[in-house]
Amino acid sequence: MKKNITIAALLILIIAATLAGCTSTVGASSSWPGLSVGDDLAVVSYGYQLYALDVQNGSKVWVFPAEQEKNVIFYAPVEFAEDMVIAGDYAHNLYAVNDNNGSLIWNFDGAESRYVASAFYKNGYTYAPNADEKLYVLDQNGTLQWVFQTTGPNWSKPVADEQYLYLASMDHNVYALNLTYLVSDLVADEEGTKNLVEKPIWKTDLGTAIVSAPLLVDGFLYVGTIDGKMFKISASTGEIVWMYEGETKIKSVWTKPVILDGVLFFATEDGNIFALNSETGASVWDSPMATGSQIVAGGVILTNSVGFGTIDGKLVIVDKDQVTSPSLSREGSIYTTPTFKDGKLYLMMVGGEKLVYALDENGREFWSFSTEE
Amino acid sequence: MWDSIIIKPFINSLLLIYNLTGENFGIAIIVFTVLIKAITHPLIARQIKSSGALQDLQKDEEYLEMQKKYKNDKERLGQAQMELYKKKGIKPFASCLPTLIQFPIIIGLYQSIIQTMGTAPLQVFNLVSKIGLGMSNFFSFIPSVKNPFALIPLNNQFLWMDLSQPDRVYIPGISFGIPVLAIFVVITSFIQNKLISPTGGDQQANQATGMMNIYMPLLMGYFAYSLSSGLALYFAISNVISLVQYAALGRVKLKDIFKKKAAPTKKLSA
Repeated sequence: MKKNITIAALLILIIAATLAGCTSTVGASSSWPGLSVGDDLAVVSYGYQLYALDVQNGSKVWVFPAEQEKNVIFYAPVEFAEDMVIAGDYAHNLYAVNDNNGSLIWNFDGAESRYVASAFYKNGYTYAPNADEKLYVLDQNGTLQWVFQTTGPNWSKPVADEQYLYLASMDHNVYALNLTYLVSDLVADEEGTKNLVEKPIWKTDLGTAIVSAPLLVDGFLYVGTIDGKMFKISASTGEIVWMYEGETKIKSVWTKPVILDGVLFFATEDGNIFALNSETGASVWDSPMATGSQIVAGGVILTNSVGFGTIDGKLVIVDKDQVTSPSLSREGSIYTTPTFKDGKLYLMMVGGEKLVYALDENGREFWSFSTEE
Repeated sequence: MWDSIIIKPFINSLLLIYNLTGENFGIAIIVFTVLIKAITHPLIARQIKSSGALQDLQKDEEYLEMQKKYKNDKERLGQAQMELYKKKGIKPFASCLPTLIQFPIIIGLYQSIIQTMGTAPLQVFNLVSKIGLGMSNFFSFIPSVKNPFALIPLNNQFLWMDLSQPDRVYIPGISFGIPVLAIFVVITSFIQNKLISPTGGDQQANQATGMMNIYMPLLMGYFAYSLSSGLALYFAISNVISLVQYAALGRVKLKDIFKKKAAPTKKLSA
């Protein structure tokens, strides 16, 4: 009797389900969790809250905010500052949280987009890159000091030496800025407030977007780009010392490189690990090491080797002679750069039974944590 | 396999078009949708002609008579219908095949637009892993063609919209945003449905058609309202092109759009 109407209703449902299925990732936060390890705390940025864990036993010390709020979503790793942690969320807020009890110290809401990268803290100043194409610099009280305008989103954590701050941007450039500016050095922004840095100390165009954080070692920056190039740049002048792109074109670089015994290690999106002479940029190995899985997380320096986490959940361990150690693995995917500190290796697994594992170098577990605990 | 055959070529084509159209993603979506619709036009034309012939048949006297005559004998009715189709040169399933062929193209187009619009790390990571240099190398004789990686991040601003966000227009004095594209999608979907829905069927069929005519535009409007405006733009352009295709094939009768359906024929079978 109602055959035609049932068919019509079913058709509408099928179309709705197809459209919904195809768009399931649209609007999703679509990032990976952040992990920062300090002397006493490991802080996980994942979803609606920050979870501060005791590094000794993985017990929860505090969460922030205490109650989940719909629009507050964290993915950027926190930055440890003096007695506080600084965390940016996906709703344009930057929070300074008391590292003892998780209470809010200050909140800066002047940005217009999400904080994808961790802020950087030095000498009482917080340098916070935002996807709204700006770098915000705040003092110890969270008061805005100055702003640097880029022409693309900023997804990578700045680094600094005693002279300059270095920012890699998706607008293809690496910038060097002073650590501080006097008001007299600044120019007015669109609203007439004098807080904008007029021009950087230097900028170097690398041709494509930079999403990984640069590594700063001995006056040189090492940074990869999404079109599969690794650069060594002089930190004082911005001059490109060498550029590596392999004999056959390599894939995009999302990982922050690491240096061990003069060898620069980095991985590409398609799961190859490369080892270069950090002086010359020449490949140390005859061919890159294929892990068989995509890599987005940065490398971690272990005692005599380096590890790269793969999306299929392995930590692949290799030394500069391309000798591998047995991989460490847990259920889930590794998107977050692992941390090795005080003999503990912190692995963050997405989609697994547990979210964080603290292991020794042989994979023996000290503790694990999941947000449900 | 789906990624290799459909999504990657579509994404790289979309990026090439983005590159060649002044690096504006809104224009790239419009041009890409027009191109895909143009390529698939022969299929759509066949589908429209076949379904049109079936619609016209429902008003045919011979057909109506047959319905009456064999109202209690479904088997005989089926045979008579098939004979009539043969006589009139109508292939009743000819409208299904083009739809089936188009379906993966439409879904691929839709998915590639979603993936290309990504503005969050995981989305951009997935996008970058699908970018290849083949297309830009092939078209490297065009001076303005760039390395597609250099196009990331894409410019998502189009007219008043951030294409990665739902569309809302804020007017002074009104406290809420007006979803202009969503409204446009509802209207164009309604018109499109009115034009393609069969007329003159039995009461049940007309009820079902009426239901589709109301709920489908609302459903599309809901998606356009809640998803990113880039997708809403795709829905809107797609609807407009479909209407143009119907018009080009003589299936648009504007006076029918707001006209009530003809009185339904009585239900013929129990």
